[in-house]
Amino acid sequence: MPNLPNRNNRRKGKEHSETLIIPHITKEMLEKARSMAEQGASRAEIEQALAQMQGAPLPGLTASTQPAAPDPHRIIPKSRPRHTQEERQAMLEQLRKEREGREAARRQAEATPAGPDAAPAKPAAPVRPSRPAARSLRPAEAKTRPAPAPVQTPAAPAAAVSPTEAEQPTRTMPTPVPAKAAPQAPARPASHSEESPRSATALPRTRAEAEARLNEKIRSDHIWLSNPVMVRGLGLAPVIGAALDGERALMLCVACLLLVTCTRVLAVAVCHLTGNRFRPVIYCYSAALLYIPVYILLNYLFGNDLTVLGIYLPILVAEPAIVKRMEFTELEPLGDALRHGFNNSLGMCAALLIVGCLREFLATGAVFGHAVLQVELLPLAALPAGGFFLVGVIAAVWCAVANAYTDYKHEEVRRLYANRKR
Amino acid sequence: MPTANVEFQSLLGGVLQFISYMGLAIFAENVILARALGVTRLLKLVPDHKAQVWDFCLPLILVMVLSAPLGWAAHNLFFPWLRGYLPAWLPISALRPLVYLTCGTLAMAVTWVLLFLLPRRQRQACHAQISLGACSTAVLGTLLICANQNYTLVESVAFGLGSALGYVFIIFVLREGRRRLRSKDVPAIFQGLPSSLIYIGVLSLAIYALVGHAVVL
Repeated sequence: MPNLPNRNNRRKGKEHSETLIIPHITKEMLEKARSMAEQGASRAEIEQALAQMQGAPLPGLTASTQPAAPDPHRIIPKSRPRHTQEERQAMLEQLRKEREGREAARRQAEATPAGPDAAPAKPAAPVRPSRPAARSLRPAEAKTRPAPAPVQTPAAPAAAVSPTEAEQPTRTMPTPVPAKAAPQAPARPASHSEESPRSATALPRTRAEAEARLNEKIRSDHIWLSNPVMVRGLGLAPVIGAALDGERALMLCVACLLLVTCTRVLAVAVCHLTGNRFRPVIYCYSAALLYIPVYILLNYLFGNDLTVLGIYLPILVAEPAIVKRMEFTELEPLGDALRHGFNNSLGMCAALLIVGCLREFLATGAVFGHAVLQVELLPLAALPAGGFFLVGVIAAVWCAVANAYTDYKHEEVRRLYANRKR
Repeated sequence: MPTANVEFQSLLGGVLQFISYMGLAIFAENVILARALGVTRLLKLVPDHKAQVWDFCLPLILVMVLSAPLGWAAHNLFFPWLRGYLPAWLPISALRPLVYLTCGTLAMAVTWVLLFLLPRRQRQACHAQISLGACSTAVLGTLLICANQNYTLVESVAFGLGSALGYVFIIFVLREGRRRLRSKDVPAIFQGLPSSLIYIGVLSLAIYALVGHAVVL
């Protein structure tokens, strides 16, 4: 096998400038390094000279011992606040105290038995540490710490929170005493304690938040933007095989509305009891059990006309629009299941009615049995092949319109939040 | 003078009947092309490069073959017996999905055990897909078709096996078609689900031209 040259060593042997990584560089150090490089000094010499310069007391350290004015020539990156050793110690001490306070509050809450009148404790909500605190933790400090600070810690019960903590809406680091040397980053009011009281209708602050909210809105729109049939490709068998005219489509609509909605609620309720096990069987059997009253109701409503649906009515119990939910690992609450199931069935109804009426119109020139045209435009539409063609074309147009709308909404969000950094 | 045994002739006739029903289920009455059963799972399976086709197809074939005699027994033995005990307000058609689903679940359980004959890696992959295969409209639809057509036991098994093979056949055909449909010549709005549906429509039209009539729903 030929020994291929390492692509990373392409510039080996050629003359090229070297990059020196120098922490705490000052303007004097930069000028010194430049002048030495112009004079032809080697890299080792430059580094040695800079190390000597760094060995001198830094302005930040002198500021802690004697409060002198900060060096105006020192270059301090504003994107990242730099703290002195004492400031770091103070921050760590503050963090430790806060953690001990939280632990004590948690222990106290656990020890106190919850009475029947006691308000139920909120579920563990993630608390995000404030950004300045997270930024102040450097690798060198992280090594010295006994344990890494958890990113998400369970929130203490509201009753156990000390008044001083409750008064502070944001858990930001207190400014250390000698704070003159290092400029502080602007305080970020993004902690959990401020986010929690915000309602869902409030305007999002950042662009990322607005886009996430828009994506969630698009995803939850099961009727048009995330239609189960036309966009996600679920429940195609009854749409292609049985929705040959408006009447059949209407019967399927009623069946879907009852079966899809109720099955989702029943299956989720049973899964909550069984600990989310045997989900495929539970989903299908829930649908099969609910099919009995649904069939009796449909038989009462439509009578013998129900037989024209053939096998497509019974196979609704194994429709992917019903059982697809079992592929998701998380179990939704009952209210969400009812809402999502109803929205999904509405989306299926819209697709069924559109396809059924269009196929009837193209195949016979009628809509719901009423003659509109005297000619048969496309007799193929009454066959499964025509159903595939028609659903394919409708899905293409549907997706194009939905994509255009979502693109427009995304562009709107981008323009609204154009003047913001994030 | 050559003579044929009467038993051999009947055996040969049975084999020919079995093969003819299999061929009917594979081509003329294909579950996907003629009845659009299992299209959703097919469309999800084909572009999924992580899922191996045989990990899904092997359990599906076993479930469809094993559930066919159970479905025949349910239609010819269980429902006539049950009819005498049901109240007048409860039509027996309301219980069909429940009973045939039970047939499919029992077949899934037997398939689960049979898959232990496979090596561990393939067995785990097949076990991961078996629930999706058993809860497919193709399985339930095939049982219902066999019951509606009043097939005999042999015909039911042949039709179940043929339907499963027809499903696998269409998976491979669609996989090849899907690869070609990624061409840039296909308009952007037709990429994905619409082009796949139209492609299946073309295949369905070809089958319709071959058979000359639409199947009974």
